[in-house]
Amino acid sequence: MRGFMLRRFLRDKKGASEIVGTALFLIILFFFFSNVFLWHNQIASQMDQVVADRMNSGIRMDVFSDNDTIWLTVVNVGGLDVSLSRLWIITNETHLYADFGLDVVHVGAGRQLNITISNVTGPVSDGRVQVFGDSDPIVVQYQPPVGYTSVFRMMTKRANTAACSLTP
Amino acid sequence: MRKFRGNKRAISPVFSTVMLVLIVVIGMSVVFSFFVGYVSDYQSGRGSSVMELLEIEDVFFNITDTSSVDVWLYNYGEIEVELDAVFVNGLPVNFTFYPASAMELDDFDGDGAVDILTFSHAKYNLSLWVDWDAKFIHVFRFVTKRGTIVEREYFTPEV
Repeated sequence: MRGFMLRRFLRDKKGASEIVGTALFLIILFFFFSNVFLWHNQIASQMDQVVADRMNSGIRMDVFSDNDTIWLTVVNVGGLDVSLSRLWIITNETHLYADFGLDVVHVGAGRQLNITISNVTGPVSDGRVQVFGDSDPIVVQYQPPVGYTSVFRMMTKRANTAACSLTP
Repeated sequence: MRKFRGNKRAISPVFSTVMLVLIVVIGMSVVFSFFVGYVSDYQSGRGSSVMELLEIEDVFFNITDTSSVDVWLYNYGEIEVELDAVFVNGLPVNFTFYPASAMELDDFDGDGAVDILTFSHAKYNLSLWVDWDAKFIHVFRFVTKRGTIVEREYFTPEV
């Protein structure tokens, strides 16, 4: 009985084209969607790495003043090198910033960088103060207003931030 | 026409096979081109939203103008970002970028809207519906064209 059924099944050619067509259709669908899936998987892995790098590149910042000299110390507390992007200098009335450019000022893992605040009023262009130098010592031309608190907030290329304040 | 209708003979098997192949090839070409377009739109649009990383780097409540706020955004993702909508305390607000920061912006995809390039800072001015000194805490929500949402709370300064 079983042999008869099998022979009949193999001999019957009806419906073969539907099976072949469906199989081809599924193969084509799989080919298309696997490409999209692989692409998405690749960029998701890439962004996971970006987020992991950000978590491993934290900074700490302190401000010191000694008579007329003010300086900031940026310490890399992460395991990866850090590229500084922008220093914000914030008071209640003004929000100024010093740009360090892209991949110009680096702080190695476990190292620190000193930034001197010139304590001299310099030209300000649309909130941007001037920066001199690209390695230790870097000088930012800014004079903190006496009697008011200035907040210094550093932003790295990977968007990590650290802040400290000073009231001269 | 009468002859065509009156003729009951079928078209030849060769001709019918050629016609079927043609119909299938043309149909599949249409489906394929639609699919390719759909996938490339997805990859450059919503699919790339995972590559967007945006940070609100500074919010300036200018005490000389309580009806607007200046905001600096920083794009640290792997792809340019286009701002689609901004909400302050749940209300949509008008936003304009400062020409002074135009060097850091560009119409990268050529759609007429301003894009923030990767590792660039961009300054925007937000026109508020209610003066900012009427409330102590403000919730800023930025929505990009690809659907990424960045939301932060900011305290107003003491005036």
